[in-house]
Amino acid sequence: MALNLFRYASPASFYPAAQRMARWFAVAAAVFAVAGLWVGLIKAPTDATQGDSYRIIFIHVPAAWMSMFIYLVMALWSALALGYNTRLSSMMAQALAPTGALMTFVALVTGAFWGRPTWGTYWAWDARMTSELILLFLYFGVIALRNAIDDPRRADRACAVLTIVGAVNIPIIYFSVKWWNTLHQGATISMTAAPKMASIMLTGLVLMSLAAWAYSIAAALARVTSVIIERERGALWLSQLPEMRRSVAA
Amino acid sequence: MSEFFSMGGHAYYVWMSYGLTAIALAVEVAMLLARHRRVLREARIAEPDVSITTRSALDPGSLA
Repeated sequence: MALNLFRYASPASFYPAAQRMARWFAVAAAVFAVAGLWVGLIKAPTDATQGDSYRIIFIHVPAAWMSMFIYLVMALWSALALGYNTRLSSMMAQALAPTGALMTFVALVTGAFWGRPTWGTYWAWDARMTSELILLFLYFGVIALRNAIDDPRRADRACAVLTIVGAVNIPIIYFSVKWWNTLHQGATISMTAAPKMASIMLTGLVLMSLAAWAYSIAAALARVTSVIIERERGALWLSQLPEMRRSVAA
Repeated sequence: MSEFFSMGGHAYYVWMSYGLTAIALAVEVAMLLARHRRVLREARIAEPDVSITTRSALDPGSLA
């Protein structure tokens, strides 16, 4: 029999699955991060032109990728929420926003600390950096909009519309280095060409990217369990959870 | 070892990047754990009366 994915569209059946998966992805994130840091900070040699400042790449690039990818996933959940009116889709979108904002913040901050020794400035209003800053404000906007609306179902719809409209910024970030003459360099790694970097550095980057992926999934799933408890409060299945009865055992 | 920490003269930029990222992630994890504890506590308070009666019968000392 095929796995019935729609079973997991119900918060009651998704809750225990999310909790289990969050733990596994957290462990995976830790393992990948330790391996990636070891390769990136110890095994990979010093860069011939940039010296050791290039090692910021191992956080900057995975964080920047995640900042855009999380937004796309959030937009996808928002579209599903609007199309099917499924509560869990909105809860997933809601759970992704803070982690997306965090990844955007990390990408901007590490970019500044990489820009200073490499370009001589912490910040420039170039297309890549400005559009990434707008992404941070979009995440803040979605979070603020949700907090501003009391009725969760109305907040779901408003946030979904804002998220989907804001998604236009993602291709702008991604292609900004091609469309405009930016201080930020073009892509070193693309789907269509061989990566233009040493393989040991690429290994470190891949490991750190896997860590960022696993961390983001773990954080979003952990957050969605809290969102489910908040929004399903009073439901019978919730009152039967073992963690709800913890005070009895204690 | 000191060569490792000096990062070829770029210690400030490299370690600020790694350090601030570590702090940001630690803050998010702490907020996630705190939120989970808080929503569980609030949900226990908001629980249907029947289970509160059951629990207080089992453990008369605490309703929290």
